[in-house]
Amino acid sequence: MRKKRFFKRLFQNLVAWLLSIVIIVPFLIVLVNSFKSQGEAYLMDFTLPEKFLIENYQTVIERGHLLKGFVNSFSYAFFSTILVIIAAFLAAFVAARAKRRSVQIIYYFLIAGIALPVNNITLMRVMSFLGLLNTRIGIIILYAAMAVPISFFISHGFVTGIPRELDEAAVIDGCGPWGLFSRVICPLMKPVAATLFVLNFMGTWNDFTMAIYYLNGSDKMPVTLAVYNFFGQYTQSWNLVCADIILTVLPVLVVYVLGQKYIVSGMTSGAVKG
Amino acid sequence: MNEKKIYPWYFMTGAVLLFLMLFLIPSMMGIFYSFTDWNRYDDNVNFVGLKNFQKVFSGNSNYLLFIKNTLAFTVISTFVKTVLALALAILFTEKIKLANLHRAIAFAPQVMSMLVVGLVFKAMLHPSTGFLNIFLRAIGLEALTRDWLGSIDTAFGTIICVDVWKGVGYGMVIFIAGLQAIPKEYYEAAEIDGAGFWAKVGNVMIPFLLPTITVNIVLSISYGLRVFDIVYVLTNGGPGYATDVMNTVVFSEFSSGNYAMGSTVASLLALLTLAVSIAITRTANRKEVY
Amino acid sequence: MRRKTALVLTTLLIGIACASAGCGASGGEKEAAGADSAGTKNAEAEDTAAQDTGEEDTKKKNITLTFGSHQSGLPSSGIVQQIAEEYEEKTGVRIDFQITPDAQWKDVLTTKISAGEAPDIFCSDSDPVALEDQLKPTLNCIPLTDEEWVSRIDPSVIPAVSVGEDVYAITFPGYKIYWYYYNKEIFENLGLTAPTNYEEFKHVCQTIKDAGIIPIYEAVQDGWHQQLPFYELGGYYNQLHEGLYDKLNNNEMKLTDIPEALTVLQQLKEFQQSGFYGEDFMSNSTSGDYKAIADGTYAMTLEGFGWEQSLAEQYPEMEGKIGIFTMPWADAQCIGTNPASNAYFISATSEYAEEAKEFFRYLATPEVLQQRLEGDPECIALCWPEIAPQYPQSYVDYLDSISSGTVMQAAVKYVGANWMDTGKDIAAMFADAMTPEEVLQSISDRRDEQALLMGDENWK
Repeated sequence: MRKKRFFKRLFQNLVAWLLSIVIIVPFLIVLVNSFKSQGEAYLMDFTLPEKFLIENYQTVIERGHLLKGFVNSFSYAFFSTILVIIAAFLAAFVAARAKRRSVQIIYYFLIAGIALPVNNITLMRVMSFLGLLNTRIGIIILYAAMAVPISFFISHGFVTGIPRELDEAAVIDGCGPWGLFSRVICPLMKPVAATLFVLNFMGTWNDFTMAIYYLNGSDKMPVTLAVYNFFGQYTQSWNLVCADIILTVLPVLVVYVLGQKYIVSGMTSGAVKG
Repeated sequence: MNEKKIYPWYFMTGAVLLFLMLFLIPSMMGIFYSFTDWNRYDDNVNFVGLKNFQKVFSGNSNYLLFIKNTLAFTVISTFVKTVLALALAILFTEKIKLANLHRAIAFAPQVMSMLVVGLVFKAMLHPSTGFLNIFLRAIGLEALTRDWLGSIDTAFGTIICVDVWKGVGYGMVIFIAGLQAIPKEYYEAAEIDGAGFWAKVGNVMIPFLLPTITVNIVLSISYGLRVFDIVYVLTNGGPGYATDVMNTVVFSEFSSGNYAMGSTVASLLALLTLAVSIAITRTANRKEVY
Repeated sequence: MRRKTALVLTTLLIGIACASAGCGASGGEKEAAGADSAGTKNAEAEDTAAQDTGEEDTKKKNITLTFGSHQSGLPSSGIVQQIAEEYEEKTGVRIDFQITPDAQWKDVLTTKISAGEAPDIFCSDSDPVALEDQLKPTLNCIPLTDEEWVSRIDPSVIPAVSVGEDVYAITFPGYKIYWYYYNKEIFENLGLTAPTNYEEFKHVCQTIKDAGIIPIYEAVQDGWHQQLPFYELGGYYNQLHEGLYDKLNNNEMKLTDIPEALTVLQQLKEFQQSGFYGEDFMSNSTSGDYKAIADGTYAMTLEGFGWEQSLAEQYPEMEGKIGIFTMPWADAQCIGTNPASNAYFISATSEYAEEAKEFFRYLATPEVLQQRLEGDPECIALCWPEIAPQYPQSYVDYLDSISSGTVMQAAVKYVGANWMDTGKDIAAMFADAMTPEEVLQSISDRRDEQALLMGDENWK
């Protein structure tokens, strides 16, 4: 019995490693190539460089103007994510609980957004009309708006899973809607908050189209665009492009690894009864 | 309990306001243009009724192929991603060593922007200088080497594989959150009943995960139908038109200035996505009553 | 209680943010809170200017001109940015470059223009046949006809930046010419000479292929390269059929009526089938041809003016080892010349039109022109006759020895807009998904569609 369990564990670990290696190969290739010389990097493979060129990174940081891009990307991703989580939670809370017809209509109305196409020409006119064009706050609000339907959808599903009895108990204890939401519902929503945070943060971090359309001024541009421009200028220098990619991916990966803890700790068990 | 008082409407204003102003209104304006001859070169916009829609379904154009490609992409990628994401989530919530590291790795492709994915995979999949073929040759599988993105036979499948690589972590995260919400007692109860692994999956996990599975499928389908970036950065619809999907067509119609036609395809796509999403949510909700 | 307040505040934040941004008060940044007005750009320009006069005084000392461009609109050596930095040191006027990926630029630019939000200066393609259709400079740009430098540009380039009598842009690159570059050593070792007709071309390729070298570096992946032979030989078609370009523009002839156009497509297909492009051409990108030629795996590549010089810069050992010949498809012996390139326009909605003009004057001074030519290895000639071109005598001799004609995309309407689609058609042909006949039909049909979209009278 114990032997069987041992092999089962061994097997599970092997499969996990196999999958992980397959997934991480592209990253490793980029990493290895980021230390090569230009000639060596022509072949994108695992051959180790003759000499590890740390200078590549120095070159990239100096020529790529990455720092400003980082600050921009981070602030757009962070604030829009916070904004959308708050808006989506509040709406999902009411939509999942209230049985009123009007609320249900709004539910479908928001969900429809998952399907609707973005039309940049009309959107630009609306943004311009609202005075949100070419401002940092405008792009943050825009990113938040784009993420509303999906975030709402995910959190709605989650609230539905929280037993109503908790609400009733809270109301009997004298909670108003704000108290119920902030003291009873929100704490239970932590896992989904973490999920939404990670997903939306990544989504915004990796986007650059919205920024090209709705911002002007190179000082407001996100870091993704810097990678692209860098690639355009150094198509021949895959080593530098790789170093650039590593530098832009690394911070987000760190955010994820740190944030993962909150998704993982399993705060829901016990309180949620399907 | 006074419903209106405990669940007040004004909690929804933030989401509704954001959505209405920056999403719904512009996109409705866009849909309206599918019934016109709006284009970049003429300031007069005339109403043309259903003419644009007729053109899509007239059969003598490539539009039907694009619709077919879109549906094929959606079905295949959704299926593969959901199954794989669930498998990964189950594996990585088991007691394996360094589970957190594995989870981080599986999610890692998600942090790579599509642009970078395009650059890296095009380089890796190059028939003679790319890693994949070099690797295959090195382990003696020369016969398996292909021009992965350049050949009409493999391009579509290759795009789906890259998409799965990129997207599977997303689904996995949602599944992990769902799995952790399942109370431990249910497993314990099942174990006392002597249930094996598959019985636990079938009797405890799947029923509890139904809402999560629905979420994943809906997300995956709505992503699949609207797929654009990955096709655009890997093949831009090529070779020829073999991997063109509805949204790459919308993009090229817009770039060539034919706004009305672009809006038409976009509206059709919206209609399709909406219908499919509602259908799935409805079916799932019906099953959920337990 | 604290949480409650926080929540109320955040919900309000959305509303407040919208409202305050609407007043143009967010962070004192340049705001153009003009009302939605697509058709009345000029009126809006005045509006915006009027609104901003309050801030004018504080900004005057420190003006920033926004300069929007696509990636390939500016030399990759960064020479224009360098010139702009020097200009800032001299005048205090900062040029802020916003570079957009090539694929998005056209869409971004037209979207911004239609919302009255174009950058002060923007880079777009010059176009001798369809500038007004593409950009509507008469509405969207400031005329530069009275500038001194206009008279110093090569007069044959002026139509590409003009609508009617008015000049709307400044442009620098000289004529673009595509021809085949070949590795002289490979040719000599195999006893080959530069081909002058299709049969010779085929023979050359076969001999090279038999020697274990891939004859031609073709790059389909970028999407813009494989269609070059088809359009660049327009001058040749025009020589064979009198008045062809006019007839095409008046819709008296279709592209399908040119037999040589079909021949070119069929021969491209034949080359691909014969393996003259090797195995990788569908996944190759054009930027890879430097290495491919330098290390001898490929013998020839179809590239533009200046390629040889860039190659020598990267691989000094290749200096003097490269020869040229014009495309011999369909037995053509005619060099296609293209006066169109990219040009810089000043937006009609710019508050700083005068400063932008001043910057153009600076760019047009002989010293800066010279600096520009020298700072960009990919550019070997400017369309400014006062600046001596930097190409070798061998080019001059070759150009003198052979006839030339304007390429199709610079002379025939509704062709340029379908460039990338043509590329896809030809890629489909290489992948056996379309026949040469179908490709030609598709190119011609798409052109008709574009003409109708533009409301061309001759197509109604």
